[in-house]
Amino acid sequence: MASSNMPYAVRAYERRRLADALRKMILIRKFEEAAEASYMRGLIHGTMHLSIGQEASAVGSCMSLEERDKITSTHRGHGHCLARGADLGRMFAEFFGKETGYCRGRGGSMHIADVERGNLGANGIVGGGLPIAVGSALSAKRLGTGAVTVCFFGDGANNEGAFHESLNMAAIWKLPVVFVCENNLYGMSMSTDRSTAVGNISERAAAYSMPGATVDGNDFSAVAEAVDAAVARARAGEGPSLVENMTYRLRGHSRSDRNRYRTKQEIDDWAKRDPITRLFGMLVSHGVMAEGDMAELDGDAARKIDDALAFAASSPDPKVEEAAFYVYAGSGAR
Amino acid sequence: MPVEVIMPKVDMDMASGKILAWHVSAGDEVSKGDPLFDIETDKAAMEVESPGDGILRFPVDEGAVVQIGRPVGWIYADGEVASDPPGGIPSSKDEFRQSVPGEATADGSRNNISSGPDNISGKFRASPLARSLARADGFEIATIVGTGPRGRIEAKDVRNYQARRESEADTSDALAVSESASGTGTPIILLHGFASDAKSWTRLESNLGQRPLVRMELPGHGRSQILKAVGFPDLAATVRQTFDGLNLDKAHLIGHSLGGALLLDLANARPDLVASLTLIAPAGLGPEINGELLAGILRATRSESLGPWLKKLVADESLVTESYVQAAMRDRMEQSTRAAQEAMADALFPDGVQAFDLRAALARVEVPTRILWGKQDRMIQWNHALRAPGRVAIHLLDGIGHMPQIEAPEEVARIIEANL
Ligand SMILES: Cc1ncc(C[n+]2csc(CCOP(=O)(O)OP(=O)(O)O)c2C)c(N)n1
Ligand SMILES: [Mg+2]
Repeated sequence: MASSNMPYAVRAYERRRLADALRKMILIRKFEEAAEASYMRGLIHGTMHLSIGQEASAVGSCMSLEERDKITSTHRGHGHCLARGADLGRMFAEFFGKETGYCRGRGGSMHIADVERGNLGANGIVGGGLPIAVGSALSAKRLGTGAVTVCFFGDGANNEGAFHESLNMAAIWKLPVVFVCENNLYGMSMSTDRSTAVGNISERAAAYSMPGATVDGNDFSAVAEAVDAAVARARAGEGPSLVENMTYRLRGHSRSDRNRYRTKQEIDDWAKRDPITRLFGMLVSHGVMAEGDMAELDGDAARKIDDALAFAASSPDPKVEEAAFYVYAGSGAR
Repeated sequence: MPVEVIMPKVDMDMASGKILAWHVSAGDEVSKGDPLFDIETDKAAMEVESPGDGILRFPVDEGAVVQIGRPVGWIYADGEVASDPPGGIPSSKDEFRQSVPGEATADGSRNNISSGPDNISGKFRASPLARSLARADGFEIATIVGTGPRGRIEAKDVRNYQARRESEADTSDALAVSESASGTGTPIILLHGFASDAKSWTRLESNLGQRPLVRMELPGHGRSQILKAVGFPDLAATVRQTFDGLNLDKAHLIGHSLGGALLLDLANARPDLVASLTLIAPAGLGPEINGELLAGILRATRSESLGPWLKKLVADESLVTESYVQAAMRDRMEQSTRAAQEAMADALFPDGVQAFDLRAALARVEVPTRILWGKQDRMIQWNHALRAPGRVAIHLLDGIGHMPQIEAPEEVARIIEANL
């Protein structure tokens, strides 16, 4: 087969990395399904935003990131955490409000940060991660670390002032940051058609003199190709880029969504474009995997999830007298 | 093993949910993702999808309230034996379920679905608030048409229905009228001002001698009902209608502020039935009015915020005692009263301007007419009186504000009596 007909991912990555990527996407899916089930049983407090259906965007966007690189995440950030290798048990523990959680159970689903793995954190503020990513990229540039920051945000953030200010600053200072918009067509119940003046959010890049690309966000290879190029450009000191991954969240906005703003037909249509099925199909058709491998991948993931759930469930609750500890940086045990 | 169907937590602060209706019956086949049942929480109604493929067995009763995470039924694979519910959960004695009287059946079967207001198996949607409004009102919610998404019946649909029903029931738009017990001679008609009521005449009445008194109250004020149409022409028509209903041969008219404007309109419309017209600080003679003062009174929801504005209505603020303010606030306590007056102010005094002009009417009125005005009026300036034609008598009262009938009842009564 002529190499030019091969998808980018198959050309660019070794077998092991492709299998890894698929494994991560399956893990994210199963993780969120388990979180959903736990939530429905009342084990998780607060609310929760699931990214089921968006796994290719999370994993594909992190393919060329190195240990020193950073990401900033969103309120819909479980996939981003796991793409960067977060610990499943500590994530569940955080959801369950346990001492062993990422924030010692004080933060919940929307506040997971894993600085050791370059994850600067989820953010409950729509658009809140953008200025942080710019700051991270600025520090990398000033310190000469060579680190690149990938900044995830939703379509809803593209109309926030912080988005525009961040892109402008990143551009004037040629910062090593890649803005990755996960356009899932809605900010809560508001469709981008109704909220956004431009047809593609990537068109906004022109205003800040940076490259912009819109790709099929459910196509792992397309995402990886666009973001890899942007990371390379950032790493080479050429400045920021904007990549828009067109995707879809198959679940509601949060746990209390009644889906009144979209049709079942639309959800079903997007379910047919499942990023995991598509990546697996691609890997099979290019001989990277065999049809029969899926059962093993599923089983593997399920076992990891079960272990993580057991770890979280058996972890200690915070002591009532200490509930207000560890809420602010450096607030330690007082 | 059958798949457990649980009452899912769908809201941050949800502890339990009510099964409103099953979309399928026990023994029916379902597929994963099919709509399985509807639940109602404190906040909303929501559809729950089937967690698996198979046959639904042992569904709990419609109307049952179930704690989150507890089973509400089971999905069995084809051919899987189902003699007893696993764990015996769907028994009506389960500690986590409370049957809601009149809504759930007690025997665990679903054959006996109540046909009361809560039965939504008839395929219509309604918000929880709409349901409870209908329930409180005691009518069958299914009988009204919903305007929400996919025909969902919402609270506003119920309220519109109630309003329609009420307006159909009321054939008369007449104002509330109260009459003095006795008296001889030509009766006096009294009409109070905006945001006031018939009680504002009490001090004047005791100085007015022995004539029969007829007090009218504006819509949404005192004991008058709230009217939808509150523009000046609507109000004037209602006043006329009420006046006509009294069947008087002749009447003296005394109106204050907005009431003055309305009685001036009446005198113009019914010249033969009016003996004299007394206008106290009347509206309608110029565009200016103290919009801030109006808004302040309208906005007030307690006596602390109402008092300071009421003081601006009089020249000697000591007249506005604490008990006076409290009594005034009690009359405005009803949110519906305040809303009605607000709608009225919006139509009559948009942007703090008097939107109606009665100068032409005043020029046409030929009956003896007097205008009384306090020179310290901070609501409507007394110099509007200067726009009256020469035949109208003008009495300007020193040291008096917008409420001469309260501030100087004896003086006002003397002027009126001398001319009746
Ligand atoms: C500044 C700010 N405004 C509003 C909200 C409430 N809010 C939370 S998520 C959300 C929608 C975000 O949409 P989008 O960025 O498209 O992300 P998605 O949820 O679709 O992943 C909104 C409005 C918020 N958290 N922060
Ligand atoms: Mg969105």
